[in-house]
Amino acid sequence: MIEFKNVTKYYGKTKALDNFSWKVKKGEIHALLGHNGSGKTTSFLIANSITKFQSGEVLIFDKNISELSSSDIQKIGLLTEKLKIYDDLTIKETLDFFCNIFNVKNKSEKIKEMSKLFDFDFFINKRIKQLSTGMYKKVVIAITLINDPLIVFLDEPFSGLDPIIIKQISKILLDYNKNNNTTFIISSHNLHEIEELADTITIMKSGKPVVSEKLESLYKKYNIRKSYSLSYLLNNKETCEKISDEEHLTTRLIELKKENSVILSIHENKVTLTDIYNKIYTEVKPE
Amino acid sequence: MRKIFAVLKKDLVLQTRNFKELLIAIILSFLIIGIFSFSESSNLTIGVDSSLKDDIGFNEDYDGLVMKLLDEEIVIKTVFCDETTLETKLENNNFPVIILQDTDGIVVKMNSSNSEALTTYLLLSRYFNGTKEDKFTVNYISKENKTIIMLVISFAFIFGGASRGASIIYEEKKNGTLNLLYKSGLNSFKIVLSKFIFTLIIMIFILLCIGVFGSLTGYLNLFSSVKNVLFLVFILVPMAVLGNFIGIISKSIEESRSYQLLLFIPSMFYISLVNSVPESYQFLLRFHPGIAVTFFYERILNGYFDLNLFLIIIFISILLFVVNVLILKKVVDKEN
Repeated sequence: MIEFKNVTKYYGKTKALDNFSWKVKKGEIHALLGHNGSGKTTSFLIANSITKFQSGEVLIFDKNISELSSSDIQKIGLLTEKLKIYDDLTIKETLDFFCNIFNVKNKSEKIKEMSKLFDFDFFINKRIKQLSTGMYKKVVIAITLINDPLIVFLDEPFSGLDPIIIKQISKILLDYNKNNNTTFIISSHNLHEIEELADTITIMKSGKPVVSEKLESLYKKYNIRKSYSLSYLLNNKETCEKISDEEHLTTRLIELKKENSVILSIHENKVTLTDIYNKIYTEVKPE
Repeated sequence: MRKIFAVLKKDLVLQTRNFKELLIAIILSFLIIGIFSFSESSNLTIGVDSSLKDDIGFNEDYDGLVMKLLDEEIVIKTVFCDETTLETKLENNNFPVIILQDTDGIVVKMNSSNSEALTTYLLLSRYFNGTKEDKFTVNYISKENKTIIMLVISFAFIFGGASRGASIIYEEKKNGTLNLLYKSGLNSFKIVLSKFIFTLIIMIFILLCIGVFGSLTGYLNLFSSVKNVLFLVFILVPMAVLGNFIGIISKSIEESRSYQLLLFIPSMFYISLVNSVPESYQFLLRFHPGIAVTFFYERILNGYFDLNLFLIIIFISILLFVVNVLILKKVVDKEN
């Protein structure tokens, strides 16, 4: 569905993408991860025909990006991190405006559908500037989805949001993906949420992909040792210790037994995407 | 077209909710017109001095008529071409020159507007037709006051209409919605066109406010003839394009304000200089957009219409519109 082939992009003398090759399959939720300046946003802008690149090839809907028609481009939704919509329009007026410019048929139906999906009903006539950060984010995501795009790029959709709103947005995106088979490409620093949401992960470093795999295979491939939380009672004092691996845990348990301490609990800490990300980012070099 | 109107509708809704700036410009314009209309006697009663009745009529030396300004208690002579010529000139929409001459022979040239000429003509006609009314009221605005009004209108246009058009484009550039507009299939031409129509609507609104207020006070009659109205509308075209140009080249609202001042301040210098600099220099001065606008208003208020001038305005507007489209395209490409 989306394919980057050896794409190189410069901003002046700065290389934003360096021979970047990347594939996204239809209907998947694909997370594009990486530190700031690693080239995530640039990839989004290129895929949306907003910025040009110096060399390589980009295929979208199996067509070269330069051959995409205006209606093809409109089937690609984009939410950029910096996007700021019109403060003095109400949610309804905002949705109406974007319905008009994206030639949405059955406009009122679509506005109702979006209101229901994002729970706008109580706020529909409120101005954008009166909304909370969470509600604002919901509106901009609704705009991105308003013309039923086949591919949606979301750049930092969770930034600045509280955990409850993040959960709500994640659920909306998951449901939308499931019901419409829409391809989502999400860039975020919220790895915890990405872990819940994404099927496939691409990690970028200095404009190149370090890894691009299904989440399950990442767990298998990067066999990070589990860590443990050990809680015990020694001399009537309760202590909690973090143990980095199983070997150390055995040694420590033997020591504690000798000291006559009472083991209260042993908790196995799950390997998270954050662990994998940190390991990959520090140890693996781009190809 | 649907997309262009969607952008236009959105801009107008935003405008009604950001009315402060526009309101300040309108109130300021009203205030200045108001102050001038009340501080000066704008309605001078011109009457025929019965004591000079014998002198009234065509005179071989003057081709004129002796009259008296009753309010001022000054006897003046109106020197004019004969009635038939005056009538022909009015019918041909030429620019009639009425010369008022006081009894000491000091000539007061009035580059009269059509309405004033018409008033004088009616006065004379009535006299010649034997009604011989000895009183008639004409609206009289001195040239100096007219230029101030012109400045006020320029001010309202530049700071009202143009700045809103400018700041909306600037805001869209800054907050990333311009990219969304592009993605929706709107191109630079359509975006500039929608902003141009928007700025035009705002300017017509300001003009209507000023026109209505001016008429109510009896001080300024912008809509005295269909020709004047048409000409005003044509004048708005380059101003709207100019306003959008400011918006497109500005990187901030403050910067667009600076550009607007660059248009406005030289106009004031022009007003102070125009009576003392030679005609050729005046012509050069008029190349400055702000001065050009002031100059055009001066012509409009004096009821002057020139086809060549009109064609030049339209040509410059189209050229500037194309430049706007190219600049917007370049700005968007450069930012990405």
